[in-house]
Amino acid sequence: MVNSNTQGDAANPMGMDGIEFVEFASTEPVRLGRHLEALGFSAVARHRSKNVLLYRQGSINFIVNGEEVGHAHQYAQQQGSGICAVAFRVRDAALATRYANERGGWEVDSAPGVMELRIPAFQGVGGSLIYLVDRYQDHSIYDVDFVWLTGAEAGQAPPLLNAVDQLVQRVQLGRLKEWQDFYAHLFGFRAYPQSVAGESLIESPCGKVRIRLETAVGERGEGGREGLHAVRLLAPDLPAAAAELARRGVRLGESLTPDAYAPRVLHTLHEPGLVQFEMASQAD
Amino acid sequence: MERSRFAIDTTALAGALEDKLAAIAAAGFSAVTLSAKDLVGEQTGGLEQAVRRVRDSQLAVSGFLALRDFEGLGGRFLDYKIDIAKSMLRMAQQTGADLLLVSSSTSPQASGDLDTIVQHLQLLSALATPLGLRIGYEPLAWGRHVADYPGAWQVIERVGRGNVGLVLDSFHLFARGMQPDDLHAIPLERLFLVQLSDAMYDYVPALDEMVELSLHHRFFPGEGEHSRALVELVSRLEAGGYRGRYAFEVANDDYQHCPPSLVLQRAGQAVEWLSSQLRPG
Repeated sequence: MVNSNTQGDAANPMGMDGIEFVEFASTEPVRLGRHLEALGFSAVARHRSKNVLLYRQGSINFIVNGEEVGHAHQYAQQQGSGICAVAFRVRDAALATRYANERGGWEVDSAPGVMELRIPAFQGVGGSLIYLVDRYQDHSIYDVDFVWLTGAEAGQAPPLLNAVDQLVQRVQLGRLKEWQDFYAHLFGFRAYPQSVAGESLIESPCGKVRIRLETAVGERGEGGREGLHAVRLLAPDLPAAAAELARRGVRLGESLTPDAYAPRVLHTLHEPGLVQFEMASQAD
Repeated sequence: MERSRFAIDTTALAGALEDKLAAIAAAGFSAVTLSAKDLVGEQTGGLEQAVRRVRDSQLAVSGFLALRDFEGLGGRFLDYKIDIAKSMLRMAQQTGADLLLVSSSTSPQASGDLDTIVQHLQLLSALATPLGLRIGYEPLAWGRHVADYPGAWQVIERVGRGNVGLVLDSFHLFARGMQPDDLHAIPLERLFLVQLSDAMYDYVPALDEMVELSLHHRFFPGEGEHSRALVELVSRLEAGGYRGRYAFEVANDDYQHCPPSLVLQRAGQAVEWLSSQLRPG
């Protein structure tokens, strides 16, 4: 058997290196796009043949998939608008794929996915996918499938939001440990020692990906549905970002009580029917 | 005990899936354990139709049977078994089951190396998690390397995954000459399902006889030689805080020649009998 560990150390067997993109399935891609623009994102590229846009701000890549076929569409039909995929950066996608398959990663055919380029995809939570991407330095995956929109990034002001801090995953009652086990087993995530009842924050071995596992209320039905349901973004200057977003008419939720993991100021950025975003100040 | 604590295993019943499900519901039971064969063997409409029948029946699916001879294989045989596992997990999920039963390997090709067995169950755990399924590992009395509950618990402890636990089948416990006492080390919350059946023998059978008895000659609790042991087992589980389901796992050739309603009448009597035995005084 091939030793798949050659690309990473024992603590980071997949060679993980952060988040490449988060993909949103939406039955209202235009409305979601407008919301993202209000949050400071710009559409920087359009898919060559699909109703798919790449939005960018700081180091954040968001893909809005408004296709009426394929995985994202299926996801939106079954689960409603939401996060249908997340792409993890890995040093070598082929090696990481082999490693994941050997350990019980459930590889799925990514052909109907957003990229023509073959990107390995694995079964994630609630019908979402986890992509493994190793082209993120000189050549990006977007160079192949997307057309850059001219001038989109020219003259940008400093970003209001510049990085993904956490993905928030809802899990069913009693399944917190199962999901901790899953991410630890396949990707080497570790749980933060602080614990809030019914919640757990886990971090990738590269220190760049954090997933907050939250127990949903109720075991089945709408409330109990598992999935990635929010993204927490970092604002380099939170008070300024909050003021600017308020000026643009974004509904800022109350400033949340700083939690055990992130003793920082937080806002929810809520838009009914769209995916939920949170905004936090940069870690100290 | 409430009838809702009990599930009926479809293998005890003759006939088409639709008739089995209807008979189970008509007998006042609210849960089943299903076999993959029930689904893929559907005469008309195939798998999709079978899944719809299960969903329409409103019966809870307490377990999905069974992935066999999985752990300990290597190379392409392991790859092949992973494909089979995925197919079963997918079917189980479609029916609304949350538990896939995995019986300990009987394969002469299977490695008995504990680390390998543990790794393969961890692999199953990872496959099952996104689908919301749990893995219930069941030591067959004639398993090649894991054949009893203390051995199976040693494996599960090493696996260390929240969604991997044990399925306790009274047949396999008693067939090895073991008693409820032999389960003392197993935390009851790691028992995902308890299967009950009675038997016509009160000795420890030889291996080949075990298989024959298990597949063709099981009885409902209260009808055979294990009745007293079954009462002790259930009362200990109840006293210890087990709140999961009991499934009547009663494969019996005679029942294949009876109308399901008659077999279910025996199942109902078994519930009454167990309840009366458990009542204090």
